[in-house]
Amino acid sequence: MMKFSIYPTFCLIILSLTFVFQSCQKDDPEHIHEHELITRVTLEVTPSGGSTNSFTWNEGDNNLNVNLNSDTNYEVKVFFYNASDPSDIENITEEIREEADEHLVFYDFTTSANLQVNSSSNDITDSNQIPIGLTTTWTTSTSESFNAKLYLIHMPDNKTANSRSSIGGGTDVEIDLAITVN
Amino acid sequence: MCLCYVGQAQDCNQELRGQIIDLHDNSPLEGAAVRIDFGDAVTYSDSKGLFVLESLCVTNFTITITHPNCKTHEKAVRLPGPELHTFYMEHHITALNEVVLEEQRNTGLAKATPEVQLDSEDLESYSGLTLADALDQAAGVSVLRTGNVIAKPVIHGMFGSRVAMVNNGMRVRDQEWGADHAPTIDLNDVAAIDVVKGASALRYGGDTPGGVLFFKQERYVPADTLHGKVISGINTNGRGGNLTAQVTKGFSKGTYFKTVGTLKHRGDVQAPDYVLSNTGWREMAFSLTAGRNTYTKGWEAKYSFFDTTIGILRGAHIGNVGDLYRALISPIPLRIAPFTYTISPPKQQAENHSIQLFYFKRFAEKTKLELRYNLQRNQREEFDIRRGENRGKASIDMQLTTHDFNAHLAWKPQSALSSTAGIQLQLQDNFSNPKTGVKRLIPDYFSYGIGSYGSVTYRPNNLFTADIGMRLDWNQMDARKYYYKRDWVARGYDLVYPNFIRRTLNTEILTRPKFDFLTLSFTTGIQANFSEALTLQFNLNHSERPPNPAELFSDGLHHSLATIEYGNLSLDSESSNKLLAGITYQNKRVTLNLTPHFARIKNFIQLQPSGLKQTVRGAFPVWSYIAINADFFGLDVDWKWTITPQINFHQQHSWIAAQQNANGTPLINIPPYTAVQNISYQPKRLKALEFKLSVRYTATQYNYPNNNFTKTFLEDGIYIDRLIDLSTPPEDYTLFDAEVKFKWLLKEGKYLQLHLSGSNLLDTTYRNYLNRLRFYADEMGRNVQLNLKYQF
Repeated sequence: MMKFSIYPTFCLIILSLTFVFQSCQKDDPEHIHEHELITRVTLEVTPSGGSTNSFTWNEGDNNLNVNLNSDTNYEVKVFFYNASDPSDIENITEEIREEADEHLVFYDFTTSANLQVNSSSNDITDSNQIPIGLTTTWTTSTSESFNAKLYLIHMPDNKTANSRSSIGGGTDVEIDLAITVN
Repeated sequence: MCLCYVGQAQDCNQELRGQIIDLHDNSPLEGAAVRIDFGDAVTYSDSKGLFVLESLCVTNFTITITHPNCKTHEKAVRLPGPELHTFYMEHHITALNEVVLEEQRNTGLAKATPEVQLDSEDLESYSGLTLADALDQAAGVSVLRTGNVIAKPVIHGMFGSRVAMVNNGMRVRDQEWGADHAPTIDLNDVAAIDVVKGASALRYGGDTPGGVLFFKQERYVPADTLHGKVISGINTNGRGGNLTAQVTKGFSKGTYFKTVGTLKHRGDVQAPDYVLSNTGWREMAFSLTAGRNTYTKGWEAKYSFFDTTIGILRGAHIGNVGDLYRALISPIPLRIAPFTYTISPPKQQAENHSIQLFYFKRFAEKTKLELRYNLQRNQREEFDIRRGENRGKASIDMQLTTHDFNAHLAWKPQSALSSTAGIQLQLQDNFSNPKTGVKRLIPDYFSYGIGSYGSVTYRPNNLFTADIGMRLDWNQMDARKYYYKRDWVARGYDLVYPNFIRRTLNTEILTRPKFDFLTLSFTTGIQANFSEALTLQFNLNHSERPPNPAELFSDGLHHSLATIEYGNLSLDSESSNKLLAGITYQNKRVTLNLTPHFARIKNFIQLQPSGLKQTVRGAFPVWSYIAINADFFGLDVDWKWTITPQINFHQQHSWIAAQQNANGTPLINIPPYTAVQNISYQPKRLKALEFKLSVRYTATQYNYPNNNFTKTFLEDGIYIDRLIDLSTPPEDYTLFDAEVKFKWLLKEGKYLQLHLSGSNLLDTTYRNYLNRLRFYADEMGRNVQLNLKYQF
C-alpha cells in the first residue's frame, strides 16, 4: 500500500525539482532603452537676420533659462530629445511632426509679460491647417524678466484655445521657462 | 356526505416540514424530489434544503426522496412529529459517509474560526457580473475597485497579499499583490465560496492576516448521473450579455467528467448623468475536469483557462498633476464619448492558465494522504495611450509562472483527536517582457518557497472543539533589476547593498537583489456550544508575511493617480497578531452572529507620500513603501429573522477602524461603515415565486489620512497655489436593489428559472471611497438584469 502512494509523490517532487533547475539557468534580463522618454528640451532662437542661439533644459533642471534682446523679432523652434543614453540621442520632434493631429506646443505667459507670441508661417500644421506650435514668432519690446510655461500636449480637445485648462488633453511636457529680455 | 367532508377537512390540516441534509458535509441539499407513498404530489427542496408538504390527510406514511446525485431514500414518517424533520441523503458507498464526516475536521483548517458562505444560488445571481460584485455580499467583505470591473476583495480592511484565494484546494497566484489586479477566477466555475476571516487556514499559507476565500467545487459522487446548468442573461447598463454552461457526467464506479464555459461581454457602462467612456469588458473562461473518486483512492485533473479584457475609464488617464487637478475640479469626466463596445487604450488584458493534479489515498481506516500539484501561468498586459511606433503596444507585459506542490496527511490518533501535517513547495518565475520599451514595473525574479505545517484538533463531543496549528516557511526572492544610478545612490542602496551590483551601464546598473525570509505562523482556537442556541468561538492567530514584489521593487508612474511609486529593498516581514471572536445565537426564528476582531500588525507595509520628483511633466508626488505599526479593530454583525414562514429579513453591518499606533493617523482605503438589509417574500400559495428587496447604506469615511498637497499653477497669466485634494472621502449613499425569481419545476429535479434583478434602482449618483477612480467619475447607475437558468 505504501509503495503505491510514494511513487506519485516522488514523481511530483522530481518534476518540481526539474523545473527549479531548468529555470535557474535564465540569463540576465535584457536592458530596456525607453524610446518614448523626453529628457531634453531645446529652444532654438533666431533673431531676424541674426544667428541662432540655443537654450537647453535637461531632466533634473528646475527652469529653462532664455535670454533675449528687447525690440526684436525672433523665430523660436522647440525640439524634444530623448538623451537618456548620451551615446544615442533620439530626436522625438520627428514623431510629433508626423502625428501633428495629436499634438500641440503651447506657451503660457504671465499677463504682466510684454513679449508677444504668434504662430509662424514656417510652423507645421495639422490636417485642419492649425499650426501646432513647433515654430513660433516671438516679439520682444521692453526689458523685463518673467516666468512662463512650455507645454507639449497630447490629444488636446481644443487646439485654438488660449489657456492650458481649455485646451484639455494630457500633458507630455510641462517646463518652467525663466525669460529675461535685456 | 356533508359530515364526511368536514371530517376530512379536519384531518387534512397536517403539515410536514423537512430539511434534506447532505451526509457528505452536512450541507443542505437543493432540488431533491419528495414524494409520499400515495398520490402523485411532488415537492422539491429549496436552496436551504427545506420543503413543506401541506394539507396532508394521513398521519402515518412513507416518503421517498430522490436526487440525481444520490441514492433514493425512503423513510417512514408519523405526524405530528418535530417542528422540522431532518432527512439525510446517503451516497452510494455508505462507508464513505462516515469517513467524509470525519474529514470535515481534518481539512487542516481550524474549525473554530468565524466564516461566511456564499452558496451557488447567491453566486448565480451574479453570473453575468464580476466576482467582486458577488463577494461584496458577504458580511465583513468589501471590495477595492479600480473602475467598475477591476475589483478585489477586502477582508477586515486588508487586501492583496493579505488575503488568500484558494481555488479547488490550491492558492491562486495571479499577481495578487497589485491593487489594480482583479482575481482571474471564473465565478461560474465555483459551487460555493467560504470566507474565512483570519489566518487560520495554515495549509494554504500563514501569510494572510485578512483571511482566506475558498472557491469550492461541486462534490462528485459515485453515481450514474448527467447533470448541469445553462445560464444566459442580459444587462441594460453596458448593454451586455452573458452565457455560461456546465455539464457533469458521473459513473457509478466513481469516474466523472465536468466542463464549464463562460462568455461575458458588455460595452461602456453608464453613470446616471453620462457614459463612462471606455469601460467595456470581455471575459471568457473554460475548464475541463476529469477524475475518479472511490473510497480508498481517487484522482482529479483539471485544466482551466481565463481571459479578460477590461477598458479603463478614458478620463482617468492623465499626464501630470495639472491634468489631475483639472480632472478633480471638473464635476464630470474630461472625456465623454458616445456608447461603444470598442475597448481602446488605456486597457488591461489578463490571461490565466492553470493545470491542477490531485491524488488521494486512504491507508488504514483513518489516515488519508493527499497530493496536489498546480501549475499556473498568469499573463497581464496593460496598454497606455502611446505615441509613434509604440502605439498599440503594451506598456506592461508580465508573465508569472507558479508551480505549487502540496503533500497533506490527515489522521486520527484517537476518536477525539484529529491531526494534519504537510509540506508545500513553490517555485515562481516572473518575466517582464522587454519588448514593451518601457522600464519594468516589476523586475524579472525567481522566488522559492518551502513550507511545513501541522495541526491538532481536539473534539471530545459535539459541544466543544479546540485546535492548534503551526507553520514554518522559508522563502527566497532572487530578482534582477535595473536601477538608475542616481536612484540607487539617492536611496542609499550603494552603501547597504554594494554586493547586489552585477553590471554597470551608462546611466543604469543591473542588480541582483536576493533576500531570504523565514516566517513562523500559528493559530489556536476554541469553539463551545453552550446550548443549541448559543455558540462561542475564539481564535488567535499569528501570521508573518514576507514583502511582495510590488513592495520591494515598484518603480514607476501611476497613470491614474499621477504618483510615482517606489518599492523599498529594506523591508522586513510583516508580523500580525489577530484576535477574533464569533458569537452565534440561534433560535427558531432568529439567527444572530457577531464577529468582533482586533489585529496588531508590526511592520505593516504601506505606501506613504515621501516628497516630490521633478520630471519633464513637472513635479510629481512620490509615494514609497514603508513599514509602520498599525492596529485594526472592527465588528461584523449578521442577523436573520424569519418573520413568518413566508417573510425573511436579513441585516448585515460592518464597521472597522485602522490606525498607525505611533501617532493615531488613520490608514488609507479602510472601508467605511456599511449596513445591508434585505427582505424576501415567498407567497404561500406560489412557492416558486420569490421577491427580494435590498437597501445598502455606505457611510462617509471620516477616518482617513490627509495626503493633500499644494501645487502652483499658471492660470490666466497669474501664478496661483491650488490644493490637490486626493484624501477627502465622498459622501455617504444609499442604494436600492430588487429582484424577483420564478422557478418552473420540470421532471426529475430539472427546472427552469427566470431571475429579474435591478441594482441602484433609483439611479442614485454617488462615488465610492474604495474606488481608486473616484476622483474622475460617478459610479454606475441603474442596471436591470434578466437571467434565465435551466438546471438539468
